[in-house]
Amino acid sequence: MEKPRILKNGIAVTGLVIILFYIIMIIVSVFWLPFDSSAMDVKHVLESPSFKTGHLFGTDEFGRDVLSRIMKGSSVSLIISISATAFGALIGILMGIWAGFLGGRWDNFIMRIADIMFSFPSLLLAIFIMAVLGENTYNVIIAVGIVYIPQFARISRGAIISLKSNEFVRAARSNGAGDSYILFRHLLPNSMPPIIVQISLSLSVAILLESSLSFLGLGIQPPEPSWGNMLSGARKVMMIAPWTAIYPGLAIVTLVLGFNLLGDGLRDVLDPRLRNVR
Amino acid sequence: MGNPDILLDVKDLKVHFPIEKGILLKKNAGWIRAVDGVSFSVRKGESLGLVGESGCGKSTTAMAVAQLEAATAGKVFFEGRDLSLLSSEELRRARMNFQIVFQDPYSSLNPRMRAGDLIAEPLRIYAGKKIISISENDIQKKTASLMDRCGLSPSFADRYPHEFSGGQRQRIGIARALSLGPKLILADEPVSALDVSIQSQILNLLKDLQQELDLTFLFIAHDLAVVEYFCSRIAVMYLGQIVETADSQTLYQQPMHPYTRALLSAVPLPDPKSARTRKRIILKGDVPSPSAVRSGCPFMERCPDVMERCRVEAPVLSDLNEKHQVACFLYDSPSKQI
Amino acid sequence: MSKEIILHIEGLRTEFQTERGVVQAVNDVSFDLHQGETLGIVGESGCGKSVTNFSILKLVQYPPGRITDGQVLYNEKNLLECSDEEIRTIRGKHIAMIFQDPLTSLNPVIKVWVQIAEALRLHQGMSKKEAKAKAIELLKLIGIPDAEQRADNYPHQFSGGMRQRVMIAMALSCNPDVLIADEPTTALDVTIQAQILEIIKNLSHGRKTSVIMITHDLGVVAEMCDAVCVMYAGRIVERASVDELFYDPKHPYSIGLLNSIPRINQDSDERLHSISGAPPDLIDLPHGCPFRPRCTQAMDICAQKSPPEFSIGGNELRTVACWLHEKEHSHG
Repeated sequence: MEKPRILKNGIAVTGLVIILFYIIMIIVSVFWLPFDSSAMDVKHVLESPSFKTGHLFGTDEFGRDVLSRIMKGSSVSLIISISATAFGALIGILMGIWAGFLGGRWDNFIMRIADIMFSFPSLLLAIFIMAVLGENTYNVIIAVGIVYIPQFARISRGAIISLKSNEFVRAARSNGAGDSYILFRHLLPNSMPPIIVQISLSLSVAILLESSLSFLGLGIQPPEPSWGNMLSGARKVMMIAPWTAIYPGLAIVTLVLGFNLLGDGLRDVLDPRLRNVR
Repeated sequence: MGNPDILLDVKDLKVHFPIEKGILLKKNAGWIRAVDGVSFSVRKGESLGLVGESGCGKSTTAMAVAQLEAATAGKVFFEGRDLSLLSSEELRRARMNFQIVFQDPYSSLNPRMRAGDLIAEPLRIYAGKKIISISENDIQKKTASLMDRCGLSPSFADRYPHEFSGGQRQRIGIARALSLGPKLILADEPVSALDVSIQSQILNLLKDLQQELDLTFLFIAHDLAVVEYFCSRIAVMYLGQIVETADSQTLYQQPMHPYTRALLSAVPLPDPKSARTRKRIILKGDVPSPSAVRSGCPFMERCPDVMERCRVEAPVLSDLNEKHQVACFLYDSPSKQI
Repeated sequence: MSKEIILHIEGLRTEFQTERGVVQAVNDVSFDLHQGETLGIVGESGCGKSVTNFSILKLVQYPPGRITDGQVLYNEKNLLECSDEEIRTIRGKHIAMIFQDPLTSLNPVIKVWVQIAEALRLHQGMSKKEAKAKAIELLKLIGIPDAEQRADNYPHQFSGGMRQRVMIAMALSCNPDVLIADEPTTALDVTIQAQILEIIKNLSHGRKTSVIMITHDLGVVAEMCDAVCVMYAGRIVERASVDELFYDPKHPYSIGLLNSIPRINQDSDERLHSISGAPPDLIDLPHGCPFRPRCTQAMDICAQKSPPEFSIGGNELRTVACWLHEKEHSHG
């Protein structure tokens, strides 16, 4: 059997490996953690990473094990980023294809709403929504998701509109195809590449947004660990115990990178025009 | 309408597009008169060519005939039935009888569908709507035979459009148009995107198919030599109107309308000796915008034979003889004047 | 009638690196352009005719493109060895180019006269006022009505035909010796094409400008050119005077091409002659003659060796790259 095409693309594979690594970490963290992630240990405050103590990534200002907190926090980060992206993408794409396919007044109305949402910086918008909804995990998902709606709406609308003018849409119509057939058979599959790239980008930005919100104290509330609130806690002790900031930061960077690489690779894999020409 | 020989009858067709201005509240700032009162009929088995330069409305006419562009006014009769009066279900059934071959072999094929699926698509849609009954097995067989007939090896059915050359893609488009067994083919510049050596392959294919399957063609093109070769009758369009129709020999030997004459003399001849000796009519200026409000003859600004009358009155298409109609005051016999 | 050679191209090779391999876009192309002559380079899409002319002015983008061999002699100077500085003064001033798509070749946010005047000020050091007057004069010359007013317009306010005329005005602003016209009328309608061709013809006759006319349209060649090179798969397969090509073509490809164009007044019941198949993949060229797979007269030798250019009747301006004409060469 032939190798799936995604495995032939080095960039996508690298991204996939990174993401897989975190997924395994989440599964492991459910059953086993080196230390209890929220157990304070006053005797081992701000210990540097060492094999002897078993704190491989050191401890934070309350003596909690940094590695355990990163592992626990990874599930929070991934779940939030996936659900927020799914939420934003679903609503945004529906709005976008609606606007793009129907055109006219609907298009105008929907896209002006999107423009208004767009005019706020995304972090500010997320902070505003959090302030209104209150601080808990679900609200972080909703806040980040709402930030994404206009982005997905715009991208899917643009893709639909540019595809609509293709002659193959006309050809389908002349062959008796109805609206929904044209939308699902011809327009949506061809508009997937930009949307998939946007999804992978959004997954990574969601991690950053969640971290920023938690860093500002508006996201995941301590003692529940998230990479953002770990950084927030590390801010005070960063100069004397850099490991408290470096490792959560590293986790954020690698996972963001993983999603970006996957998105980049997927775009090439999904385009039949880039497949081997016989 | 009563004439059973006439397959397609177009009466005073107009397609006007609104020009919209404004961002929030869109206002209508005028109309583009893409097609402005076009009438013609196509007999069974003949091929009528619509020629003209870009923006003359020839493609829009074809799209309005195919009911893919809404007509502002006028009627399209197919086999005596007014297409605008049909319900969407009846129109879908009627569509089986007129199919389109598109200009651009790149954008007219969905890049994510395989050649076999592209050709089978119309059959599957109609089978899915229970308009025709055909088994999946028969669809496959039919697709293979269509590919074979259009000069494509059926073993290419699994390939994607980008794996084919321009000429091969156009063959896919033709096979798709034939799949439902149409009576009329609307060919919208089917060869203008192709290289010369490929162009002749496709023209030969279309000609063979016409004889074999008894097809009727409405053939849109800007290349006069191609139209002359392919069509038995030609209508010349300018600025949304037909200015002259005749059978193709007559039109090339005795062009009457000043525009037709200029158009014919502007075609570069692939024959250096006659190119050197012939006299060319070089028209001045460009085609005026189809959005301008105007009176008089559409060709008056560029016409070398313009008269006073042309500026106030628009000439109508009238018979020179049975087979030759022209819309020009130069040939207005006094007896016809009112 | 041996005229002075103004541009001498020899052994030009240009290749493009792609993911799939190396594309030999121009493969050992040599030709001469004579003083005052209009030379047609004709071929189908992908035959390398445009790349040839980009190569002459070193306009091939690297990467992916690269001129690997050959020389372009202009005034005894090899343009391919010129520094960027030198070649820039030659472009526009001595050798000018007009392109197929006049909309993308004009800057949309600069007034038309300013764009024409740019070259004049750059190459001839004219003042702004002089340059504007000259620009308007050029616009009048190429038949733009109300040139004084239209000079202040932006490109989008011009129609396609008028934009192409502006391009010609720009190309002619410094009285170049050579004008390279790359499919100048392909995007235009026939009546507008006739206007543009007339302008180019008058200029080449009036100003004695040498013109290289790149086109796929054999009608344009017949109307405009004195001599023709037919290109196929990156090579020149036949060169001839325009009459020789049209009335006595030698290469099977040229013959096929000429027979496959529908002609006005041709009997409609007659089938068009056509060349079977499609042009070869330039990455994976067939061994021997590149035209062999489509050729009806292919012989054994065609599969083994690529034919060199045989001159016919001892005339070095009349060559054909086909083994069928090997004998004529040796006898001549």
